[in-house]
Amino acid sequence: MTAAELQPLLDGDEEAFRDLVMEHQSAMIRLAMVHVRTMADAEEVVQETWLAVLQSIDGFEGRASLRTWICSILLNIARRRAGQEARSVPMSGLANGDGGPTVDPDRFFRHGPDAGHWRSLPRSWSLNPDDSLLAGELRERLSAAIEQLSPVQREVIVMRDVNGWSSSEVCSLMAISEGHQRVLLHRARARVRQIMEDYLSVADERA
Amino acid sequence: MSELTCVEVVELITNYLERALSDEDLTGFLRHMEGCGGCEAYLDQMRTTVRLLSKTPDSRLSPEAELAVVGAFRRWSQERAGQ
Repeated sequence: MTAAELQPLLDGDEEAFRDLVMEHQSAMIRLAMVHVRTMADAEEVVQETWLAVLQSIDGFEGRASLRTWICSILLNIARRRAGQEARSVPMSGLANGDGGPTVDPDRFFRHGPDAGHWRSLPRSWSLNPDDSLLAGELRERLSAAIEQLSPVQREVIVMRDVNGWSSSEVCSLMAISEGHQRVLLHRARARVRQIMEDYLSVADERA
Repeated sequence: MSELTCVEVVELITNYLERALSDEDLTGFLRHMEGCGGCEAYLDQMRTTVRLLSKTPDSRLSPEAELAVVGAFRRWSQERAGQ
């Protein structure tokens, strides 16, 4: 994708601009929501982003994809708004607190012949996709789980797993290495899994 | 090489899904998986978690926000045209 796709905007083509806004709205709102609390705030971030995109349109050389460019502008705005100025991504975005294990050690035997093996086995989740009550609660739980992550963990899991973007695009947007990104993804997914497991085992008991 | 424990395997899960395990780790991982229902269930939960995340409904701008954005475009466009 090159700067050619921006030409209609330079020509004042409002329909083309609207199409662009629609095309990117979901990703942009999701990314904004990583850093701000309300939908209203997220929409403000999106508006500010489009303004910044238009104002710096002459500077887009097409080296990155349009999406990456737009989202890097958005992330700067959102992060700044959340008070995360000039940040580098610390390896202690291994937050939630430590570099420790991602599964509660109590789930495993610590001693004896079964040391290191599951003591409390994970169960298979019987998720009925047609259960719409569950689906609504499930969505809320997932959102709540993501909110419990650190900001950098949220960025990674939203971009990789919610948006489905490639690890190289994410590494580029976060200015981190593949290895670092994998560590963040690992911790983020493990935390979300655990929250979902807690929720689903209670839901099972209710059913 | 010694067998992997479940404690170790759960920490390899993401690298496995990312195809970033060394050959040696991959061999150990798969061998462990063959014989461990607990870790297989854990991997399944991880996959399900990722799948659920991937099915998050799309977000949309409110009509007001959309109007505001388009309004900004019009102003920007007019300013540019006037230059």
